Amino acid sequence: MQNDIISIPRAQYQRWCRQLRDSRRLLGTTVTTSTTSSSTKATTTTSAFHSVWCLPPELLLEILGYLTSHQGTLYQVSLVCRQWFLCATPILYKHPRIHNTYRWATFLLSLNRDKRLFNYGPLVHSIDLSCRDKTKDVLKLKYHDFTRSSRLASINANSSSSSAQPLVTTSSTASHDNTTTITTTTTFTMNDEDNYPDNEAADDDLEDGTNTGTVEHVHDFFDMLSEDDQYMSYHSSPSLVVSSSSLIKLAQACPNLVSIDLSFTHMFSDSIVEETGDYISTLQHYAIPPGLTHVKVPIESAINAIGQHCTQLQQLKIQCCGWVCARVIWLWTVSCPNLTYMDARRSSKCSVKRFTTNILQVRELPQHHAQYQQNMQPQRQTSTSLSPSSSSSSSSSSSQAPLQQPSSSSSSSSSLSSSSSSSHSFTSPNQWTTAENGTRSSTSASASTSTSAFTSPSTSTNVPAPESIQRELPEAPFTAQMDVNEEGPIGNDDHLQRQYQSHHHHHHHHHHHHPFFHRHHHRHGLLPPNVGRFLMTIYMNDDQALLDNVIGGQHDARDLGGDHHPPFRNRQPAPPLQTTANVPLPPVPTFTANHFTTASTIRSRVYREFLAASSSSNQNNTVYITNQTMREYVWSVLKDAREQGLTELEWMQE
Amino acid sequence: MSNVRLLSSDNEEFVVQKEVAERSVLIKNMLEDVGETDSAIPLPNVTAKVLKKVIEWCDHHSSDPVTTDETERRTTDIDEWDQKFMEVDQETLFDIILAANYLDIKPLLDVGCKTVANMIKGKTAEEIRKIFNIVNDFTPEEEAQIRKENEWAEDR
Repeated sequence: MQNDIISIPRAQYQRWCRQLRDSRRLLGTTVTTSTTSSSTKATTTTSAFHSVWCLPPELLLEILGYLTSHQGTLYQVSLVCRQWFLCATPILYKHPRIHNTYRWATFLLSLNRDKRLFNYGPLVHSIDLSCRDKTKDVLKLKYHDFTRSSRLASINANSSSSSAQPLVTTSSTASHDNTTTITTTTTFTMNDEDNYPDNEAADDDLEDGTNTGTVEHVHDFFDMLSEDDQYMSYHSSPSLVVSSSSLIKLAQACPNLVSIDLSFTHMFSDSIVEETGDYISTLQHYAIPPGLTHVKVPIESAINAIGQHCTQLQQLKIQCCGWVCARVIWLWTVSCPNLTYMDARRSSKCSVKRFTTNILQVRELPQHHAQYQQNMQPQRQTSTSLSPSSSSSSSSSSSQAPLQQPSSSSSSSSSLSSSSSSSHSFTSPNQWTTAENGTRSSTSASASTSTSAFTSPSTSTNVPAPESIQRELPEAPFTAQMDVNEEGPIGNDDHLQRQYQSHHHHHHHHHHHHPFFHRHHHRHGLLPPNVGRFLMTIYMNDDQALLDNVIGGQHDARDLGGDHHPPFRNRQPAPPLQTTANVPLPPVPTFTANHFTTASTIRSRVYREFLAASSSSNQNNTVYITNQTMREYVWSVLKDAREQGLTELEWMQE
Repeated sequence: MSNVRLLSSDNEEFVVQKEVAERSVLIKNMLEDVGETDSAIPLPNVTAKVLKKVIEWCDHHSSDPVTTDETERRTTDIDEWDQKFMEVDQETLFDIILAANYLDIKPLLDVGCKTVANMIKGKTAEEIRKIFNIVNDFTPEEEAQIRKENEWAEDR
């Protein structure tokens, strides 16, 4: 009997299945009771005209695997038939992207309903609430936003000209009590009017009594709310309002979460009704029983819940979030021990700019230094050389190079810092001129602040760059980075981008970078010897970085055996401490007067090496943390910040 | 270069270069296990019509480098020749996919799956059912439930 079953070849079986289904279709929905001969006869006539789905589930899965980025299609696929539903669901729920607050609410309901077709929660591996629309033209939207944010920026500049750097509140929205109350009632009833489906099923759950039409309102409201945070409106395409309770619910439902993207979200602290255990935001506002105790659910407890339930969380993106402050970042790192990637760029309320200028990424140090070196060196170099036309900054910085040369062997870090500071004083005055046109200056000011997260709108508006420099500035240091889509304007925004670049540089030099130099000297002596082994490389996009690499690297080469520390600065890549391994230095036998040519040679050569070495995305703008966990790194940075006397870090004493 | 004889399920014999036949991991392993052999390799799951197609593909791609990078395989578009190659009726397309799966020819399977994925892309559930002749076997309640639960993912 068994032999009989096995001996049927699969192709034959498939054909048989096909014929069976064909015949079924031909004869209506009921299964035919006629003999096999009649059914085969029926199919032979139809099969020529009809093809029938006959692929087994494993192949359907394979096929649907190509549709992971087409969430809408997967939704449709899930409605085709049972088999397709079963195949599509794991793929659909693996990387959900939520596009507005209403959908966020329905998504959470799907995860937490008592009766559901699937246990969806454990399927979720990553979740994206950033509302980045990869299919739409982001750049156009952005241009729109520029003007809008500039307007807001000017308002803000008036209102908060004195305090460019906002003090951090324990919970970003907790202090705004009126906000919370308003949002509590609106969040879950809020929806995009035109998008709202005629779907009674959804209404069942939401009982959407209050038709608000408030999306615009709420958003405006939040824009105004984040007054010292111009960037909130930078991304004015729909952004999500996330309640602290919703994150708790997410955490409880999704134990396998690896990556969470909360970029561009607004956060508000929900309240829980102590007596019933309900969250206010999920209750209808008219249904809130009077006389009960409302307890605030702070963002801290949400982060804590995520840490508790989602133990595998590795990746956190909190770009451009008004609710992110240094303390929040610290809480994330404490709660989520496995965090290896954090992108908090442009979250301007965070006063510790070292968290917000770059992506932080933990990277293990490979066992063999040489191997590490091979992997790292080309990348480090080319992060700079990728920007093809960084002539102005490169020439200015490299012209300083010969001066550095002698001192570089004596003390790497001090010479490096002096090199960079001197070159800064060289470059930056050129950028202190007035803008060619006034309106754009404000635009670019907001642009520059928004990307680099330097909150000093008052100065930035006064500091546009001359056109000549703009033209020469690297076209795309930021386009070469990981999320090209949102940061690298091309085409029409080119000009804007250049302007922005120059401002960016400027800001760096004066408002941001500077303090770190002083501290750097200071630090150098303070670091315990083994800290030197914690490599921290920071990739910036101008040639200064390249130069420093070269100088630093050369120094390394000469100074074998020395146990020097990597400069703990914010911009330049610290030369990795290659005390033992031989350093496959990209080129530069002698770095002397002809360094111009050498530099370009390095660049092209390194570029090629880079292309060969890393097929993966360019990791510009990323701080790689080695031999340290995210938590240790964040803590060390915070300690530094406190030494600097940032008052808002007083909570650290707790 | 030695040749290999392949026998389709309907007993048609194909003689192909060993190099071409070894695009199929199944055949490659088989040849390694068996060693040099004169007898034809029986492929009971593949008809002559499909096997001919598959051999045509393997022949054209016989010198392709083997890409092991999963993401690269997934993201690269179908090249022009493959697109032409896949312009067949659905039944043949499915047969090719099944054969590629059985013969373990990853790149061909990819091309086939991508082709089907492209057919699905952007279609509604009803359209998909029509294209592939699939019966909607949901009860109305089930369908409503799925609509409700997956609503967050809908393109609007």
